[in-house]
Amino acid sequence: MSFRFASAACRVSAVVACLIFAAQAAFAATITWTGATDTNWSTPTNWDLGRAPITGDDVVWNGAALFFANYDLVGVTLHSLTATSNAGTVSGNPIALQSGGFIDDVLATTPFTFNNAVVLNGPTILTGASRFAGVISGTGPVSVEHCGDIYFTSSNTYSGSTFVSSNVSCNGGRLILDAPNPIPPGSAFTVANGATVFFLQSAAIASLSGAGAVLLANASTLTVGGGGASTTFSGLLFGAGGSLIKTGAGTFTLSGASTYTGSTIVNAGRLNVTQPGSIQSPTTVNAGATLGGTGMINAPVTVNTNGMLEPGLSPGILNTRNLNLAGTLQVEVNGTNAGTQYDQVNVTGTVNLTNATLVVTVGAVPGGSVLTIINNDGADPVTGTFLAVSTVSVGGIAFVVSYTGGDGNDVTLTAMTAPGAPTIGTATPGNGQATIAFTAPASNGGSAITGYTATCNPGNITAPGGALATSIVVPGLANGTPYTCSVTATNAIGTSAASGTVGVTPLIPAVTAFSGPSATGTGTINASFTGGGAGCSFTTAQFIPVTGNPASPPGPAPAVFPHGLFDFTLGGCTPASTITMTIVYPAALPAGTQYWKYGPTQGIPSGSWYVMPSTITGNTVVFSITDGGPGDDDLAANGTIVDQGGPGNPGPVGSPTAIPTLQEWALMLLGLLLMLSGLHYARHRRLV
Amino acid sequence: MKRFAALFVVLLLALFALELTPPGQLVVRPWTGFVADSSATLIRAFDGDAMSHGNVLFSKRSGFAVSIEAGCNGVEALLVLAAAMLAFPAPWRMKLIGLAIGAVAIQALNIVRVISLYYLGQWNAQAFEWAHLYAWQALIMLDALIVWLLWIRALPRSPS
Repeated sequence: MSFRFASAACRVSAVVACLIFAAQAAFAATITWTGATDTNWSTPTNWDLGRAPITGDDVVWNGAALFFANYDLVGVTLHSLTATSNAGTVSGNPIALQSGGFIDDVLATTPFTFNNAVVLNGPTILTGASRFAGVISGTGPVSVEHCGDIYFTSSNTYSGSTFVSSNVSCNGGRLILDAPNPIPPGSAFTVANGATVFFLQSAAIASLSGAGAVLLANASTLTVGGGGASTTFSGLLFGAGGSLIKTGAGTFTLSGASTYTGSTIVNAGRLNVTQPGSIQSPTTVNAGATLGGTGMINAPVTVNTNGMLEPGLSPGILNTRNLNLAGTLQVEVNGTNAGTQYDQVNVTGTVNLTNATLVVTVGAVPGGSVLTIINNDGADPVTGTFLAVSTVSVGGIAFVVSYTGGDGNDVTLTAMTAPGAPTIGTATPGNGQATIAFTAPASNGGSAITGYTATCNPGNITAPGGALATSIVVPGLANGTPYTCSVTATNAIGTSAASGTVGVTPLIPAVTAFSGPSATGTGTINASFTGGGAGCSFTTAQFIPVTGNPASPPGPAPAVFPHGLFDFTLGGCTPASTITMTIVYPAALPAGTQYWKYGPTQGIPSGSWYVMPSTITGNTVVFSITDGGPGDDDLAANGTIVDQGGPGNPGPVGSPTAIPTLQEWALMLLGLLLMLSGLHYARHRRLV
Repeated sequence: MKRFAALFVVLLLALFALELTPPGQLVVRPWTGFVADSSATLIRAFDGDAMSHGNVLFSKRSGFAVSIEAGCNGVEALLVLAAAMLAFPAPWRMKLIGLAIGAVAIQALNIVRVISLYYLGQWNAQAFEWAHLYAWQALIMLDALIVWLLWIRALPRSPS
C-alpha cells in the first residue's frame, strides 16, 4: 500500500485548501479486486483495502477470481485500471479515467472486455489486449499501445488524436476497429511503425499518418482527410478489395508500398503517391481534387472533369497505367530535364484525352526545348487532345503541343520564347547616323527570328533590321552627340532583352579629296588636302569658270585661267589650323603661272584678286591656307576655310608671235603690182 | 594714167594715215579683236584647246600664242586694194562692188591664214616661220592681185 501525502510546503494561509487536498489524496491508493463478496465494484469487501475504489485510485483487477464484474460506481474517476487476468468482463456504469490515466491488460493474451463506456479526461493510454465495446468518450488524446489485440467496436466520440503503436514490452497485437467510425471523425489517426490496425468495417478518419500497417479488411473503405490536415502515411495500406477515399482539403501522401486492391477515389484535396510508394488500386480523381506525386499507380488512372492530375511534388514523374484524362493536367516547367525540372506522366498503357485541359506553370525554360509531359509507352497513339489543341502560352512562352512527339506517341511541348539577346558589335559613326553591328543570338527561342531593332539613346531612336541582318544603320542622329546603342531580336513570340550597349558619336566623315572635270573642259582636276584636324572636310567643292557662273568672281580677271577656278569650303576644321591643298591639273601649267585667288582680304574686305603663295610643279599646285588667315575668305578662325582660286597666267607662254598679214615690203610690192597692173590695163584699154 | 598713179599714191597715204589716227583705230582695234575671236571660235568648233584673250589667240594646252596685231588683220592689204580701186577710173558702183568682194576675199583668206599659222606654230617653228614670212604673204598678195585683176577686167570699156 502506498499513500500520497500533502506537501509540507502548504502554507498557513492556504490551510483549508491543503487540508481538503490532503484528505482526498490520503485515501487514493492502489486497490486490488478480491471478489470476496459479490461482483459489484461498490461492495467494500470485494477489495483488499476494505473499501470500494475512490477517485484517484489505481485499480488492479484480478480477473482470475472473477470473469464478470459490475462497475456500479458513481462519481468515481480512477487513475488507472490494470487487469492481471487474461479474460474478464466489466459492465455497468461508465468508467471515468483521470487525465494521464490508463487501462492496461497485463497478460494481453485474451482481451479483457469493457462493455461499459469509458470517459476520458485527458491524455489516456490504452494498452494490452482489451476490447472496448462501449463508447469511448471524453477528452483525449488516446494512445493505443497494443500488446495483444485491442478492439474498438463502437463508434467512439472522444476528442483529440489517436496514436497507435506496438507496446515495446511485447511488440505484438493489433488495434482492431470493428465499427462504422471507431476513430472519432475529428481524431488525427497515427499508426506508428510496428503498429498494426485492422479496419473491419468502412470508416472515416480525419487523417492518417505514420509508418505502420493498416488493413482494409472485408473490402472496407477508409475515408481519409476529413480533418483537412495534410499527412503522410509511409506504412502499408493493404487488404483485398479495400478502398481508399481521399476527402478534405489537405494533402494525403502515400509513400509506402500499398497493396489494397479496391478503388482509390480522390474527392477533395490532394492525394500524392510518392517514391518509393506505390498503389495497386484503380484511381479516380473527381472534380476539385488533385492526384500527384512521384510514385507508381500500378492501375488505371481516371481524372474526371475538373479533376486535376499534377505529377510530382515539385517537378517530378508520376507513373500510371492507362490514363484517362478528362480533367486538367498541370505541369510545372522549370527546365528541360524530366522529373527534376519539369513534370511528366509516365504511362504504361493507353492515354486517352477527353476535352482535357493543359495548364503549364513556368519558371524558366530555354526556347526550343522539347518537353515530354506524357511519356506514353509502346506504340499506341494518344487518343484525343487537350482543349488548347496547338499552343499554350504562359509567362511569355508559347508551348506547341504535339501528340506524336517523343518516340512517336508521346505528348510533348515545344517551348518557344523570345529570342536571346543579340551580341553587340561595333558602332561605326556616320553623317547623322551610325551603323550598329551585332551577332545573332545563340537561341532564337524556338521560333525563327523575324527581325532586329537597333535603339540609340538619348532619344530612343530606333531602326529596324531584317531577319538576316548583321548590322543596322540608325539614321536621324545628331552629329557630335554621343549615343549609346543596343540591339534586340524579335520572333513570333516576342522581343529579346537588349544586347549590351556600344557607344558612338555620329560625325560628318572627313572628305579630304575632290575630283571633277574642269569648268573649261581641259580634263579632270584632282584636289586633296591634309591638316586641319580630324573633322576637317570638304563641305562644298566645285570647279567653275572665271566668268559665267554664279560663283564666278565679278569683274575682269587679271590672268588667263586655262582650267578655270576651284571653289571650295572646308568645314569642321580645328579653328586656326592650317591645311595644305594639293591640286593636280590635267596638263602642265606653263611657266609663269601663279595661283590666283579672288576674295576679301583684311586690306580689301570687298574682295579682289591676289596671288596666293604656292608651289607649282608641272601640273601640280600646292598651297597652304590657315583658318582665318590669308586665303580664307571668311577672314575668321572659325574652323571653316572658304577659298576660290585657280592657276592663272597672264596669257600665252612667252610673247605671242605677231603675224602681220603683209610686211612692209610686201605692202609696197602689192601696191606697186596693183599700180603697174592698173596702168597697164588702163593703157591697154585706152583708159585715161 | 598719171592721174591714176598719183591718185593711188595719195589715197594710199591717206588711208594708211587714217588707219593710224584715233578715229581709224576705233574701227581697226575692234576689227582686230574680231578677227582673233573669229579665229578662236572657228578653231574651238573642232578643237577646244584654242582661246582668245584680247587680240591674242593661244592654246590652253601648249601656251603657244599668236598675236593679231594691227598689221595682222588684213586691213592694210585691203587698204592697198581699196586705194587702187578708188583711184582707178571706174563707176562708183563697180568700185563699191570691188571693195566688197576684195574685203571678203582678203579677210576670209586672212582668217584661214591665222588659223593655219596657229597650228603650224604649235607643230613646227620653222614651218611656221616660212609660212608666215613667205607663203602667206605671197598668197595674200596674190589674193588681192587676183581680185584686182578680175575687177579691172570686169570694168566696162571706155567709150573712147
